[in-house]
Amino acid sequence: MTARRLAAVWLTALAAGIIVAFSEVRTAQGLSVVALLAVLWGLNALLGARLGQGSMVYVDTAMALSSVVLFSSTVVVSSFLVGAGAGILLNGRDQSSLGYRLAQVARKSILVLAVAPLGALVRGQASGQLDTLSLQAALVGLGLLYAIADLLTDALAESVRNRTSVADEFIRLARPVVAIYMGHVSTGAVIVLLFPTMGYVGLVAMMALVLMMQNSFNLLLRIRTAYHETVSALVLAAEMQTPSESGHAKRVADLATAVGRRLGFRSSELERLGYAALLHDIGRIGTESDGDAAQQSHAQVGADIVEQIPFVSSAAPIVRAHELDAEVLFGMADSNIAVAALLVKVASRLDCMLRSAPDIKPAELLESEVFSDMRQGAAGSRILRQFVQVSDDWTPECIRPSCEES
Amino acid sequence: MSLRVKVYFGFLVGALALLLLVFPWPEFPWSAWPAILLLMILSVLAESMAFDLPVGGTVSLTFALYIAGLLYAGPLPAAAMTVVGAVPPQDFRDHKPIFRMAFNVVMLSLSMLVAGALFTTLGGVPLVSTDSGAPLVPSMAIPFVVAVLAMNLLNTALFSLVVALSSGVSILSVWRDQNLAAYLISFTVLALLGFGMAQLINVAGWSGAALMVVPFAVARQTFQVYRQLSDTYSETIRSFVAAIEAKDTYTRGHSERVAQYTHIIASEMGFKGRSVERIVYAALLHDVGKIGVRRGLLTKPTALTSAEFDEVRMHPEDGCKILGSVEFLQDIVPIVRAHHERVDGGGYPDGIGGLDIPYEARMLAVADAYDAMTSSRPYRAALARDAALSELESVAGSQLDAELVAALVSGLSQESTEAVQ
Repeated sequence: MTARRLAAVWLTALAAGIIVAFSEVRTAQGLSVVALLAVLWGLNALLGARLGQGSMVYVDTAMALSSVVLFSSTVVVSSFLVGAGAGILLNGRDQSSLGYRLAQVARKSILVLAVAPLGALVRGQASGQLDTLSLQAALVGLGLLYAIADLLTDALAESVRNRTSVADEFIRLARPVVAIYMGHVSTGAVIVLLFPTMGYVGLVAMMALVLMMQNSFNLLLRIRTAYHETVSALVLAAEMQTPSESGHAKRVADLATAVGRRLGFRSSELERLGYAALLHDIGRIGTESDGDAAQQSHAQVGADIVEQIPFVSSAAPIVRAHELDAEVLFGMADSNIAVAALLVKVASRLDCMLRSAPDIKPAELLESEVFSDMRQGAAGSRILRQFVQVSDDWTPECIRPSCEES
Repeated sequence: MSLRVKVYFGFLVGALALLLLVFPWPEFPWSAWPAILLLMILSVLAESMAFDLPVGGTVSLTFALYIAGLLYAGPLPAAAMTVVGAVPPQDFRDHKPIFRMAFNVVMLSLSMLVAGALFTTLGGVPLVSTDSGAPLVPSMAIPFVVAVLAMNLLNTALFSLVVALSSGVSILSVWRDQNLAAYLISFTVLALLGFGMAQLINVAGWSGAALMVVPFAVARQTFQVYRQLSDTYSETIRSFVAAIEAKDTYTRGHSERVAQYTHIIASEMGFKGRSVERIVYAALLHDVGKIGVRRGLLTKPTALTSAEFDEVRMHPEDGCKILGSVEFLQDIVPIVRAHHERVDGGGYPDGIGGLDIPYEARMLAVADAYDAMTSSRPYRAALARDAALSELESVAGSQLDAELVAALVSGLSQESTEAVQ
């Protein structure tokens, strides 16, 4: 509710302030242009994408690119503050604090102001003798510049908030939205190219396409999250039968994917690894048996189950392989599956050891003879080093079973 | 292939040939070949990327491209585009019958030619023969809008006619299934995009059109993946729950059967689409809290002690806790929580009664009770269907909602008469 109230105050104060301050906006035409742009900025911000871990990415390159080229910076920034400001403050899916959202608005308005002179330069050239192909290249270039600056500063803000490295945040934020950014850049260029003949109709039509694109993307993110949360919840439910196991799968998944990310897994590989780690014990859950023979078969049983489940079935080979000896895995041809299986193996063993001996440091455990089989191959040693790094960054409590309950 | 369909096809081919020969078409703009070729390639690609709108029917992005072709290059090039675009490569890959592919080509190009004839008659001039870069003449608006409407309506009409002829469904019922408002919105957006694309080729050449393809492709691709994922979501839950249940003889298949019975009740009560889906999710997951109950308790052949019984009675709440972490399933949490409530208020965990119990939870309770009665338990054998149904009727009004019990009874009897037939 506070966000709503703040947004209302924000809107009225800004709109009034802008009208008083700029004579350019005070004419009927100026006002209607600002109002139209503000509506588009606002809709665009309301359809911002919520990535994993709750970060919101407000992709607005199409609006930024086209408006800085077509309109004066006064019009652009005032419409941005009114529209995007209200949109970001009102976005119900954004779970960050009001302060962080205000900082987002400030960051983006500075960015828009910074590219405005470049936009004016392109505008000057466009009315002059720039041929259409060079104009298109200039527009795409300017759009890419804005997109990269936007992502970089966003990653900077996130890295300050989450105390992580800027590069990691940049990759995490950029990876899922690259296609959306490309769509924005080219639509922004199209809007500029169409403006002389189609005017505001073209602007609105192209923005409708962008909004459609963002809406589909949000639906996609939503269903992906739904899958992940559902599978995690069901695994947690299955673990409740043996309380000592509770949370094991999730911790293994967190640890294995953190290491996988450092080893340069692509996002589809990371997703598959995550599901394999979550489901690696699904063949054992609910059955009380131990010993080597049973271990081998639980991986088999688990893989057979995972194979039956659409969406996660690609994780089955990893589940099947995770109980093979490290030596066998070192020699396996399909290296990504083998590496993923090794990650699950190490993470699972580490979590079990930490549960039985909570006072040992993870790094010590990783260097002890518990993992001597892993040091037989170069790949294994490399993986262990990454585990040591990750568990250094990690507050030890987070891999301990106790933190799941709190 | 029935005779009626063949006659219809012959009629369409005749109309197409007649129109082609008789109408005074504007000349084919050969000089604009790069743009026309690009549009053709794009329409093949876009058709092989056709996607179903939630409104029903495939309004593919090719429609926007055809419109762009008509406005930019004129009726004949646009008709050539429809010929290419109507047979996407995957039709060959899937070995679709040649006759059906020919049918698609004829229907689509006939619609385009009729639209083009209207466009030309009303004074529309393709952009390629006007001064490039000149602002739009408002008089172009009427021929454009008329042509777009005609193209779309005619194609839909021709298509629903062939569906009606070959399936025997009345043409009215084919049309009734369309959601008009949503259809108009998507249609307007696509027409506007086609308009923009024609303009863009006119001012920026073929590279401008290439720019426009990116957002198209991204929007389509994301939507496609979304559709696939949402279609397999219930399948995923299903197989997951089945895998967990499979270890226990007494619960094996329970959730799946309860989902079926709940589906029967919901359809009897006139639920459709999304709301049925929601109830089915709830039914599939209603016992997810029971997975956590100690294994021994559920299969115990003797009566439970009161402490053990309390443990079992926790399962709706446990289920809520588990599902509470899934944002997508928030709306089924109250249903799962209340599936052991009784209409007379004697159930658990909250002891609410009557209308305070969510409607869907009352449906679920009926389905759950019926499946419990018709499957065997350690302490008793399964009841036969008729015995179970009369048992259900005896608790209607006290444990279960009487109206919903009646719905299950009538739904099941309908189903068995259908099975006999």
